[in-house]
Amino acid sequence: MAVIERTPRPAVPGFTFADAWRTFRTAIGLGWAVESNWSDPFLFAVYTLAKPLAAAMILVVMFQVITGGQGTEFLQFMIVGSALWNVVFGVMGGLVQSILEDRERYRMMKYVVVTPSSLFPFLLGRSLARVLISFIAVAVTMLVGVAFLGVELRPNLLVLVPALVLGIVAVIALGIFMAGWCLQLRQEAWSYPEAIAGALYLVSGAIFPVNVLPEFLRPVAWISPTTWWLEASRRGLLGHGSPGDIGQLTDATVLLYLALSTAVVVPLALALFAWFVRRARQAGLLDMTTGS
Amino acid sequence: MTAWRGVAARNPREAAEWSRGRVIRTNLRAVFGRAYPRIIGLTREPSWVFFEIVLPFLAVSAFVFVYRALQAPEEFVGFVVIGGAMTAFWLNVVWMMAAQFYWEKDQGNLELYFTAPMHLMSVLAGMAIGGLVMTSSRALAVIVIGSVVYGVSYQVSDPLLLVAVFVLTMIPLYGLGMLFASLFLLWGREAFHLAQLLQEPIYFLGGVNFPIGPAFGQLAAIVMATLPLAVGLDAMRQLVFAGSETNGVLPVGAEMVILGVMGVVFIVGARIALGYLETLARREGRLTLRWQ
Amino acid sequence: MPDEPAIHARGVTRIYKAKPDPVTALAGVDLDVEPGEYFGLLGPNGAGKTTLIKILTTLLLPTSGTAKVAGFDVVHETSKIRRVINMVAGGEQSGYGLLTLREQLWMFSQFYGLEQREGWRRVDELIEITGLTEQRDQKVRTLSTGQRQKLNFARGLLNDPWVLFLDEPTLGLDVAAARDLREHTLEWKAAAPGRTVLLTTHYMVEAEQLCDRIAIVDRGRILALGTPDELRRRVQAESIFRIELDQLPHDGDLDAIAALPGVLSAVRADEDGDGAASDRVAIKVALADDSALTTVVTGVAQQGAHLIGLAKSEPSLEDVFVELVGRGFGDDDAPGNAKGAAE
Repeated sequence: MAVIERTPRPAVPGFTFADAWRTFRTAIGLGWAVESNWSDPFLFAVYTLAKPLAAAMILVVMFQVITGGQGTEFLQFMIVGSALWNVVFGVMGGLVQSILEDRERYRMMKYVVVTPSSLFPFLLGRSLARVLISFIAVAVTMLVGVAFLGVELRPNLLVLVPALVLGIVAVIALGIFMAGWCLQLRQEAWSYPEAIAGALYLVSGAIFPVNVLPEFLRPVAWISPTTWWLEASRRGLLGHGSPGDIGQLTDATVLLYLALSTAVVVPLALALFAWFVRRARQAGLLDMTTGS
Repeated sequence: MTAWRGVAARNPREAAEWSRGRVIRTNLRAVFGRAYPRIIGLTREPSWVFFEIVLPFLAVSAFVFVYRALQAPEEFVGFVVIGGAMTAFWLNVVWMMAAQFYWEKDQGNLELYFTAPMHLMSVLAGMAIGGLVMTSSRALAVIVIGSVVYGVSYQVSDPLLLVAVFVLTMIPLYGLGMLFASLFLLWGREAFHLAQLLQEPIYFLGGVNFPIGPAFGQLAAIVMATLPLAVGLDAMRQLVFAGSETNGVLPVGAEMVILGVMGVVFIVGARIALGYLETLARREGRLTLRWQ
Repeated sequence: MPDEPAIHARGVTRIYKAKPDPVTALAGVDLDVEPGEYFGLLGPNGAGKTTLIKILTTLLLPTSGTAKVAGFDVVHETSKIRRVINMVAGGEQSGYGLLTLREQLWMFSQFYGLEQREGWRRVDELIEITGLTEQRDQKVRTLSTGQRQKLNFARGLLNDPWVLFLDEPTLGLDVAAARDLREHTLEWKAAAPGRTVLLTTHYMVEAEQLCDRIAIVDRGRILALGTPDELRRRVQAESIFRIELDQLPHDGDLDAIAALPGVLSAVRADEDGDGAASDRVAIKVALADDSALTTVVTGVAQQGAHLIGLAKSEPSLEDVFVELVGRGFGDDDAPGNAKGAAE
């Protein structure tokens, strides 16, 4: 038998930070192309503004009907919480929808996975456009709140900046966890972000103080980073805390709790995401279509 | 193959001549045929128990706690529970009626409907009936759970009238869904975003979480003239909380007349829109272009 | 049998609005398909086959021209057409995933107005015929591609259509599944007079195997129309045979063979490097007609040569296409076609 001479196999390069950055950057472009694929920019503008404003106005009207406009502190509490919650919906929904769209609708997930690129920077970049759109919703709601609804801003940047940074990191971590979890699901995965965001909405003091919750739910509120993020952001924007027990804590304590809960959630979410992806590979779910 | 059936008519002209009775029977069978997947889905996809009961319950709970934080009269909790149950129907109308033809086009089913001899209104009617059956169980579950958990008590003045108002509300609601189904088919890619747009803004205008009379004052009449959800909710709240101090916008009788007129207008409008849009879609090729 | 064509098209044109320029998917198609015919539209991707089928199945309006199916106008008599036609497209994923195969078919039987009991009977009959009995209670979303297409085909026969439109029905199917489907269409058509099939395909073998007549389509026009034999004769009027013998007759003088009645030419085939083995020789003869073959075989046998092998060399329909257009099926897709629009 003839001996076949083999050329030496070239060294396989490792996946570097530069590679991750390139993947992230490229995925941003992809995400933006998908999000901006509107046939009517006017409708896009309406959609971006109408949804968050309507959500805030529901609360405003509820407040007006009951109090006749008395006690604006609580109204400001609700408006800020409602505005900021757009980030949670936007991030969670964005990350989960990106992964499900690529798997179910565009059926490109399998092709991304077999590249040397990691799924994590791809997912982050892919969903960034949707996340940024949610920030627009926050800004518009706050603007309307300040201009027409009596929200008085007293920004405290020493609290606001770390609150926003830590909070957004925590929310992104929660979204990454959700995205990995939804990769395991065979049905109804599209509804999960709304379900989880809805559950967090209930326990995070978004539109009512945490002490209104039944006793058995309050510990859940105390361990959730979203609770501390909202509280810290309110203090950073309005200059005062929420009604109730949480409002009695100092700014430093609130930021500390936010930092601690974020420090727990982030590595846990990343580890779970990696595990979910490995599990999805084992179960053959990366290229599965559920027909949903 | 002896199993292949031979054609009964002597020629295609004979086969194509259907009596009026046969046309009616075919369309009625089509209604039942199209309702079938939705009704059978109740037993085949048990995940609805979580998503379509727990999710709405969470949303209801959030607003219940807002009212409790505002120390609102207890009947407002009842308003929210009833409103939350009605959102199940609205979501069904928006996602399973209005956007349905768009999804069907994406899956390739729409072409098969158009080449079949039944009228598309039969397909829409089947979707409506199936959706109504599917959603009624969910709405009832939300009302029962919400009422038990939050201790809502009802004073129903006339149960039969309440049922009549409910039925009268469903007709224009689903008629609106039929009308939207045609429009969404025309608007193509925006269907998903339009469906999203028709959530919070409609909850706000429809008074899902608050009575629109005290909320909107004189403007309530404008809302009542356009939104079957607002009219139906207002009438049902008057009948379910008969001893309430919060008055409806109009007497129940007047609201029933409005609902009846809306029902006729929307269903006739849907038929006209469907015919016009089918012609337009065939002319422009929209029936068969995916991603349009 | 009805005395008008099953399908009639005159000057059918379809132009799509597209950016930057409008796309002409069909440019004046004339076609008559007789009742009982198995008619093929053969052409590359973007030729306009699917656009034509969508016009005939009332999904699309022509920009100009007239078309009739079973004598009914596609623009003004759509409801009558829909009662006597059905359509099966390939590469489809349509269907309600949560329904079983049997339920999916039954649902469509209701859309075609079949009475309940008759609907179930028909569904069960079609399930058996298409070999889906084992999958009858499986949910549609669990079916394989081949099973889905069989389901699709069964749906296409529910209403016992007079005209069945098949739009690339074997697309994506494996060899066995595709063969089964083709056989089913032939059996179904043969079972009753008057049943007409219009097939669009870019698989030449499929068109040759199934169709009584074929229209070769490219860039919205019909380039040629006829039976498979008639189309091949456009490229090669004569019949060419490769004959393998143990020795050359007439001491290698092929002129004697060429002089036989009905023979147009005779040349050595193995000298062209056709790979003949050393213990045999090969000649290629061109005949005016297949019947002259007998004369050739008898002639070489009389000269003491023994026949070892015989093969007919025929042009394919792609050769016909190349002859007509100057390029092959896969070469240079028609420019300017919007994706999914022209086909």
